[in-house]
Amino acid sequence: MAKVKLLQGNQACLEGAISAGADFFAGYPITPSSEVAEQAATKFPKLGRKFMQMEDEIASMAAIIGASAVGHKAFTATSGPGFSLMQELLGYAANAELPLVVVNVMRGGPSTGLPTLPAQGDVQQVRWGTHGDHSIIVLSPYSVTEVYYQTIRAFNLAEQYRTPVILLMDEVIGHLRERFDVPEGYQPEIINRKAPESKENYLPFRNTEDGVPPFIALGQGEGSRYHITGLTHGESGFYSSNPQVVDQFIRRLSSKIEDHVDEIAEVEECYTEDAEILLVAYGCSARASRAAVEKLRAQGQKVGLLRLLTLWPFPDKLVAKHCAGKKAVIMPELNLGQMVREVQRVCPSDVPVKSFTKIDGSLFTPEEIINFMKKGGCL
Amino acid sequence: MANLWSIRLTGSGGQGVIKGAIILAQAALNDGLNATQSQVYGPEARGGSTKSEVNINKEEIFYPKAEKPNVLLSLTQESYHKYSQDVEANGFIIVDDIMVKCDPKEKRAAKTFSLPIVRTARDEIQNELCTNIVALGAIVGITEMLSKEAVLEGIADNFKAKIYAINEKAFLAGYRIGKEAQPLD
Repeated sequence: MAKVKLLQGNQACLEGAISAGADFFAGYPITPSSEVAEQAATKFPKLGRKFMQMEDEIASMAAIIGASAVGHKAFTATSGPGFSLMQELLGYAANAELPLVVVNVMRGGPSTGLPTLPAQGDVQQVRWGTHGDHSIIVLSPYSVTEVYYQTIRAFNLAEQYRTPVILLMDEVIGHLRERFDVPEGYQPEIINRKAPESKENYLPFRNTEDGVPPFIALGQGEGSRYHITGLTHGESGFYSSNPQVVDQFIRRLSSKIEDHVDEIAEVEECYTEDAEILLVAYGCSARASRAAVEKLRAQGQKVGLLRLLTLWPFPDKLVAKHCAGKKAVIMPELNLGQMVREVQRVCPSDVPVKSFTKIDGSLFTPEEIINFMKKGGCL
Repeated sequence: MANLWSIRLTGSGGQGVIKGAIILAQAALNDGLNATQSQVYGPEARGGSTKSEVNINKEEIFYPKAEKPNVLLSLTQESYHKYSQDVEANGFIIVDDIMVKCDPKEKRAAKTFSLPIVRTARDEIQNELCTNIVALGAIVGITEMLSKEAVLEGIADNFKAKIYAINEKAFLAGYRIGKEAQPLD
């Protein structure tokens, strides 16, 4: 029998990237994400894959954009301050529809903030940090094993939808060590970006029915000379300000993801069926919430947890369905109430949604969550 | 379900408390249990206070931090003052006898053991870097939380072969101290 492995969240992320077929990492190490870069530096060269340490996070993004354009599965890993620097080029990648994965392990902010302590303050920045209308996919794992599977999923979704995907962790999950529960020799399903049926008259940004243009790697063989720009462009990839072209392009950048929210967005239901009080949580807050729910269930309280594995596109319908009919919905977050706005937006108006926030650099305890529910008259 | 063991290892950056916690968590898996290991440290590379926590349970562990520790290791005076009152009454407080002075007037509910951890690493093992492993030995010797074999395997899992022998010696020295230890009055 294979040995039961103790692995760290950040290490599991690199294992997931390897299984997903990622072959290019460029990054600038930053706490609490550094182990992802460290592991890539150790393992990628031995596997014949590329590791580059860049001079900063802007260069890191530029490098993985270039690698993706020529057909590689590329990624980087960072935390708050580095993620802020990546915003402009994140928009470029969304605009140029280049698949890539950015791992952001959240720490306390703003600015250099609390380098070694957890927070969940980037959950809106991941969605809206770069300028202009676009959509993006953001996944939020809550265990070491799940980090592995969600990292694979991040690469697959990036390829499937030709989009940047953010794998969003926090210090607790990135640095957590626990049992790594992936079967020996596990072979995941791998999705690669769709190729055109023919290379003739190739249009790199063709308006297809599913909204995702087929891809040929830039400069890799005949028919692969084309134009990539951060400017708004038509199907050929060249700048256009034609109102019709602009309108169609910008709407497609959003709809290619938002129209598929049912396939992309995942939630986990824990004791939701007969729950009268519903906790909604993600990442490390979901670990504390789950522990609180287990304690309350043992006391016979009808409390459930809806865990968000996907933060963006936000699963409006699923969250609305689970909130309906509840006495109260409570959302603990390590920020001043960022995702709770989305819950409030979709929750039926007769259900009160309460935000429970903590921003002192430490994780909620289950007791704190239970006490919040008691004080609010939920229990 | 409540954790079987909730262990808080504390000290100063560089004393190896995080490494010690990793070994303990791996040892728990080696013994067929579940474990989580987490840590809190400052932005400094060395120095500054360090805390690492391990939960051990037969069931799945959701909350990865030590809510109510039943074992505390303290290798600095500061961490003893900060954390010793959190330990459950039927738990164990283990401190280094030169780094931590326990004031008899400040009695703690949990049994307190003041042991020559640093001295054993320095004088018997002749390498102060082994302080964390001597401490692990003492913890396991006092509490019997895991089998000796599982922890030695955890040490082998976490060190290169050429430094295994000295760490095995350090662990066994700590284990002996733990076995013979008597709590403070």
